[in-house]
Amino acid sequence: MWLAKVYVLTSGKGGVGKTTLAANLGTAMALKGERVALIDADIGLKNLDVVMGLENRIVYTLIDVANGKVHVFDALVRHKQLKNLSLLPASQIATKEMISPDDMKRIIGEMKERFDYIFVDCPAGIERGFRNAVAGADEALIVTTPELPAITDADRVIGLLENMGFEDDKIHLIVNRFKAHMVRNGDMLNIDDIKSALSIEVMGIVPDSEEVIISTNKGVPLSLNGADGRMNKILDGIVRRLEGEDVPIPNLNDLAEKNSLWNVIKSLFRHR
Amino acid sequence: MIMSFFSIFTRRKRRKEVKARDSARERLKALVGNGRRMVYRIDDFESPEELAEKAEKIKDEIQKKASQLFNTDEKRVKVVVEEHNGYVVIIANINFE
Repeated sequence: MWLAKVYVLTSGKGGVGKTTLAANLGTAMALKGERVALIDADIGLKNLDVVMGLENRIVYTLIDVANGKVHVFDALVRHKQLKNLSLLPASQIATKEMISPDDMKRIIGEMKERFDYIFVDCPAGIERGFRNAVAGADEALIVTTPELPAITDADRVIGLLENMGFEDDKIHLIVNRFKAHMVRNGDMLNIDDIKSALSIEVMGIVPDSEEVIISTNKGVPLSLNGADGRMNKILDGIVRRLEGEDVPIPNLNDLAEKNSLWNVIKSLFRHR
Repeated sequence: MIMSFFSIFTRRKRRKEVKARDSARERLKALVGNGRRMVYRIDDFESPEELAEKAEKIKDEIQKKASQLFNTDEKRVKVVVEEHNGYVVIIANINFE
């Protein structure tokens, strides 16, 4: 019997894009036909429902499930367009202390039979919320931006995960908001710098893009929002790597925003 | 005239400023270099078994007391005992709804 593979997206530092990545990776995975569940473990500061555009469809939350008020499948919210993509929302009025790592293990255990992949969106920090989020995960996706505070926090999180029993090959790195032009100018750390500092395998590099802000504001994940081919290709590459395919990591040219004549003309009309 | 002559050197000097990437790389090496990662230590307990045993005892006591005080089933009192770098943290969730 197939049991879902559970990935936790964590970072230590807040604001690096965990929630947006969870939504976009989950959507990209669901578009490939996989049965995907997203769990918002950021209790009290939930946002995954907003990024997914599902905030008005929530009836029950993770806390209701943990307290035994409802079964986990009654709390899941199905995506409007993708019926194979569901969200287990977090409560806004609860606190992270109201759920325990054992609760998370039990809930994820119940979900595993019905899904192919589960993504857990972890809150910032390394306290209770972090411990809850990683409790039921098989592998971890460490999200960082190419800046020192985010990288040093990522390093601490990797240390914690190792202490919690995660093997090295179960911890992967995603570098978010990468700016190729800044790397070219020598103003930003490159992937090799980050990789050698953290000593873990890179699962993906996501360039900084206005498309992400637009899709978040619309509540429609990138893959469903008609994002440019570059972003779709990048997300698809990460998803395929998560599925075990050997897909090369994009180089600086692949990551750079293409300023073709057509794009410049399009942007002129967009401003008007 | 003399000032503008010296300003040529000033500009040249500015061009040789340290790039942000080089500075970040050096600082990153100092911060996380040599594979140093935070490792939890257990200072107050000789063995993890001793900690686990004591954790179970305190869990039972808290469950009993909390269920009496809040007039709820013992099963509805969840107690988690965690060890954080030599500190024992006890978290109790009492569901008396």
